[in-house]
Amino acid sequence: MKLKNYRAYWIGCFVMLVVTLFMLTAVLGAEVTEPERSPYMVYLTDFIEKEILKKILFISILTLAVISLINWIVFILHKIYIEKRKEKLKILEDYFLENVFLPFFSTQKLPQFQLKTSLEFEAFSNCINSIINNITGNLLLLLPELLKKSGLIEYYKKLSNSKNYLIKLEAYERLGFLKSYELKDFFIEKLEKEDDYYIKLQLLWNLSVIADEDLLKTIINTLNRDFETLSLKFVESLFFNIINSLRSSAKESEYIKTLEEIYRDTTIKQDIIKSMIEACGDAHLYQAKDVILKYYKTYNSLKTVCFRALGKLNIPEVCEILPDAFNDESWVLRATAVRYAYLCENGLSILEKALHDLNFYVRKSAAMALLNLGEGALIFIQNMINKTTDRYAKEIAEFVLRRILKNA
Amino acid sequence: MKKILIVEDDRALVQILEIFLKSKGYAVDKAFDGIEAVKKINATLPDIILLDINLPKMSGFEVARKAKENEKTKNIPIIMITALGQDENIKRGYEIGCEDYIIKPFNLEQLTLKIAKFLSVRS
Repeated sequence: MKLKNYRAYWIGCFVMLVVTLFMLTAVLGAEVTEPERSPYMVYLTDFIEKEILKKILFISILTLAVISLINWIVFILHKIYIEKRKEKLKILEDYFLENVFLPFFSTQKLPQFQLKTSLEFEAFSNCINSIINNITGNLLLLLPELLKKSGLIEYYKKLSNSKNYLIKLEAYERLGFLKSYELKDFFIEKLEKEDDYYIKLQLLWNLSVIADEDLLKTIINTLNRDFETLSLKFVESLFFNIINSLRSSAKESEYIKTLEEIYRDTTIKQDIIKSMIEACGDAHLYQAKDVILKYYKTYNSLKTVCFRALGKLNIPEVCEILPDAFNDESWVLRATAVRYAYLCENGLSILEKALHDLNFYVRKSAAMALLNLGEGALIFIQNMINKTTDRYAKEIAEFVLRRILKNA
Repeated sequence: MKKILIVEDDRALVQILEIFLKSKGYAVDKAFDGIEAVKKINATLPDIILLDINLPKMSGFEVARKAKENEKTKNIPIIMITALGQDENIKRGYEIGCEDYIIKPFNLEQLTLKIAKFLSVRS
């Protein structure tokens, strides 16, 4: 137990004791002088004797102090428990890696082991998660055998029926990390029965990492049907997972096909489509460029997200729509367009205009784009500073110049 | 024997990399946070560094910057380990002077090829 880890607790405890002692002394030693009586006030001393009142006050303060003290002790004990548990977990993880995983990977002979306690299951699950998240290749083909022998899936399936929300959520989370396609039906069944918002989201995440073309549709329909409000970033990460999962079986075209299918479907929430498009950019799904361009040209509300996705794809098609995006009345779209202007031949002239934009964020975005160009933009910026009469444009160009020279 | 420094906070990954790289005939040293990494780079002068970006105490970028600023260690090749979809990290790593990158989850055989490539260039 390291004292420094508990310093805040001990100081808090000490301060509380001093305050309590001070209050108790004040109550015991106080000589109460009778205040001038007001005819409009009701006084406690009219109903209870002064001495009894003093005792009540004393006992109340003492009770509060004892409760706070117990609280502090519970805090400390809990912290010690958590730290000890963490240490044990680390020891178990090292044990499983050295005695189960590594011998199995090198000899391919299943070692003798049996998981009994919840901590052992947790440690074993951590090891598997770490391997799945970090390593690909033939090594992963050996994992199903280990999983079967460990009984990990059955254990967490059982825990997922727990009435305790946290245990249930953690069980689903750990099952999801296994990225096992065999759990597909189990997750779908639970998703249909489950009512809790966060557990449903966890189940969707679990399905997204093992998604095939059918699951893609199931996920879109569930998101569209069951969720009134959605975190765009979360939904985007779902689609990012889906693209990668489809990609692992060379079926990315199914994702694009679905984007095409829902192109005119007004029943699908726009937030879902936005996230689908955004995920194409993040996952570098180049094949999606045509359908994204189609969305850009059709829906004004999707222009920004489409432009950003195309920009992230780093493709020349961005230049076709750059002038349109830059002249749009939405400053959000203008600021996004400017960020990717460097991809185009006329990029510098667009950036020059952007530095004069009336909106601060568009000018800032242009400055950031120039910073990305680095020393290549030096002459342009110097000319800009010399010839412009626009105070704001000059200030921002000078800022960029200083930053580039500092980085050089 | 060529010496590889693995800088990564995921203990399981470090153990697997260690066993795997040792089986390929490399000597392996490991660091679990940024500060420990800087100390080990300066003290042991490894032949190559496998550097995770998200590290406790000091980020991988900072570790790389310190290694590249030091005359003694600036020529040690650094392979960044980064997660999928973090293109900004790769760009920033190259700006600092890192030689290559590998995206998690990665294939151990491919990693070995990269390491061998840099070590042969170096020697």
